[in-house]
Amino acid sequence: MRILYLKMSAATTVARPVVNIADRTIDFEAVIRGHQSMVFSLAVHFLRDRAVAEDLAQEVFLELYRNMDSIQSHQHMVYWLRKVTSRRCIDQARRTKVRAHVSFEEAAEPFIWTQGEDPALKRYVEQLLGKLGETARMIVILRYQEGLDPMEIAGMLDMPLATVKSHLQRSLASMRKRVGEATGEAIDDNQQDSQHGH
Amino acid sequence: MDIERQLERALERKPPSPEFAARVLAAAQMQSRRRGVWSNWRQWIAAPLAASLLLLALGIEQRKERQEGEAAKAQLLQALALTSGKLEKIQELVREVQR
Repeated sequence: MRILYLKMSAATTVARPVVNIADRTIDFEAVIRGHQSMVFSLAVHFLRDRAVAEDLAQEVFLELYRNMDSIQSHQHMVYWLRKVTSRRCIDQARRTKVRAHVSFEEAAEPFIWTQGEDPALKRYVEQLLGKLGETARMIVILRYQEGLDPMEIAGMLDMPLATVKSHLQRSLASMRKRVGEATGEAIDDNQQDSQHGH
Repeated sequence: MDIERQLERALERKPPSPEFAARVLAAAQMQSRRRGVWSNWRQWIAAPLAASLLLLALGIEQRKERQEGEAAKAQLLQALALTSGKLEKIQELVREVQR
């Protein structure tokens, strides 16, 4: 695959970038529109800042544009986008210390729980997610935003499968405990055990 | 409390701002333009550089040929001088015999 450039219509204008994927010429705009939600959501769920997430997503697409030669198929492109976004998010968080480290125990009490108050619970879950360490947070996001299984996550983040499973178990257990406390629900041990298989 | 379901809800995909794609596209176009300018700049530098190198190589070759020619000319003159000296000696011998 290689990057192609359409003929320039005038000396001062630059043609719309197109890319060639598996012998099909595709407008780069279609590539962006097709995957912008995935890339942006990974970034915004991880960084919890829309502006920073959009900047990061833009950098990811520009890197894709520069590296189109190495992309072999549409599936490969999705894998590449997830991988590069994940790595950039983790690097960004470590570099800028976006997330002030606060343990679950230190996290402020979130909300007054009332049955059926879903948006508040959703916000609380997002808040708890932001308290996780960089690697654990990205693993949870890849698992529950993208629906990847632990094996795929391990390959994407270049880490052992056991480490991914361990992060998932610990993160879920902590979050379940905190949400259980906030909502006054008892923690269901059977439910916990059933999720270890993921 | 099904924490996994709650996570799936909290982590639903969200669209970026409506102008995001246009902004990325503009940045990609700028990247292409920069790449194009760099490529043209290299072409402008490469062509005269190649011509200069060619002229230099031709000059060196011509100088080498001239030096070889001059050396051959010197050798020829030396050979002629030697031949001329020997001819004079032979003429002298012939003259002495005739006397």
